[in-house]
Amino acid sequence: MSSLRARFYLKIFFFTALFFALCGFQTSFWPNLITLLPSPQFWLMMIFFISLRWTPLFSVFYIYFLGFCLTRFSQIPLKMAWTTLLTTFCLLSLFKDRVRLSGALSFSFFTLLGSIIFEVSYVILSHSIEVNPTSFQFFDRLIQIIMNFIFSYPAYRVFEWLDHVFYDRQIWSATPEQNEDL
Amino acid sequence: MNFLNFNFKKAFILLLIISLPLISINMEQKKVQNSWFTQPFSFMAQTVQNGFSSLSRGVRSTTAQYLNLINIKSENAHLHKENSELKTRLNQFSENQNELERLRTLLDFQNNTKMELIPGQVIGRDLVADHNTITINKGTKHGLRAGQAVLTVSGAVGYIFKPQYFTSHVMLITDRYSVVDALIQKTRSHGIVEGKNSETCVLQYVERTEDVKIGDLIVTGGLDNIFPKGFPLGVVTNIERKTKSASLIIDIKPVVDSNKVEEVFIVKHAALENFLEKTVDPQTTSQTGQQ
Repeated sequence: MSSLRARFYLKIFFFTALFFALCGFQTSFWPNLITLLPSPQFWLMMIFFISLRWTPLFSVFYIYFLGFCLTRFSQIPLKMAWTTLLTTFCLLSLFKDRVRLSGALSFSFFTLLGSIIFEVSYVILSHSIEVNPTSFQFFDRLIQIIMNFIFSYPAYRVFEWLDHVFYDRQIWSATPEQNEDL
Repeated sequence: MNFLNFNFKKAFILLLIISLPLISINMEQKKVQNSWFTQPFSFMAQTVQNGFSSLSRGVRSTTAQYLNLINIKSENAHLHKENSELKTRLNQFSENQNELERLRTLLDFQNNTKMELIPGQVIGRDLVADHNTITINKGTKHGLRAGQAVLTVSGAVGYIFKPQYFTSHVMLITDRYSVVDALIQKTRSHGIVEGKNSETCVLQYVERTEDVKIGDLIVTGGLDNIFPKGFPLGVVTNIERKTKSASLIIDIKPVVDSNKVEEVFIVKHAALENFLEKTVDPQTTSQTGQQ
């Protein structure tokens, strides 16, 4: 197995492990300590990060996989998880090249945008494809969006670090021209 | 030899050298008066002494204050720590007492029922805020299966819908996918309780002619073979009478706040128990006794 492929598998493994850890944090850690405010959806931020940073084709399938993992922690039907995440991914992909921001600021902005898209599309899709659709719960959803936005900066740092660990600059930056030069 | 060749200068210096000690000896021997020529020196001496004395007092006082401050600070820290320890102990004590009371109530409930109950602890909540489920620390390994009732001493919580080996997901009665057979305790009319949001359920399919009032208790109907009959579900908070509808829409508030649930019971055989009989029996017996 080549070094590049090994790094790729390791990256997937660690990101998936992180996804589980974040889901566990949200379901079992935060509610036991803080009942007043909802937990920030770190798992959703991770999906935003993947949508923005990774190659689109692979990201879609990986997000589907994560959507499936999501149903292990929730009563959310798979159809709702996949359709909502796909909608969010598509809209974020549409916007990502049209916003001239970079780094953590960019990620915070896209977290805010993605959270709004996620919540709105969730309500719309629930009313479209579920027999007993969800209620609007405006303030609950608004607080959730704000919490996501607030915690997006530390989340970005962690994702960025993990992404960077498995990023081999020499391999990825070695374009044919550079190779010839070398 | 020139006898007259006498060096007067040397003689004067010699005399002076000898006379000064003699004068001083003489002064020591006499009572020293506060002579006019000593006064300026005395004054200077006093001033300097007073200055240094004040300075030393000041330094001593400051040092003492500083040392006291250090002592006070360390003493304060010590007392603070002791106070914190005592507070922690007190909190722990009251927490233990609460837990003891809670466990005693649970044990009494478990001992006084015909149902086979398995105690469980809540270890997680639903990931998506839209759904109301909890995760408990018991699974198929402990004999759990889908469709078993989950309740507390005060009322019904939900039922198991996704049992796993070590844990199980419990669908709360407030989840919009949840459906529970229910009846109004006062009138005995049946209906279906469905989840609405995290704090409310809806009782549907109750005939509009039924005499339902806000505050009435809704209990489990038992027809679903999940819950024992007559166990508290919630209290009526709102009644909607639509003119075109044949049935009432009744909002109920669950008696158990699912956000605060820590320990639950899983019912293995719900059909063994009927709480309605328990609530009815004393009345009928008293009536028969009066007759």
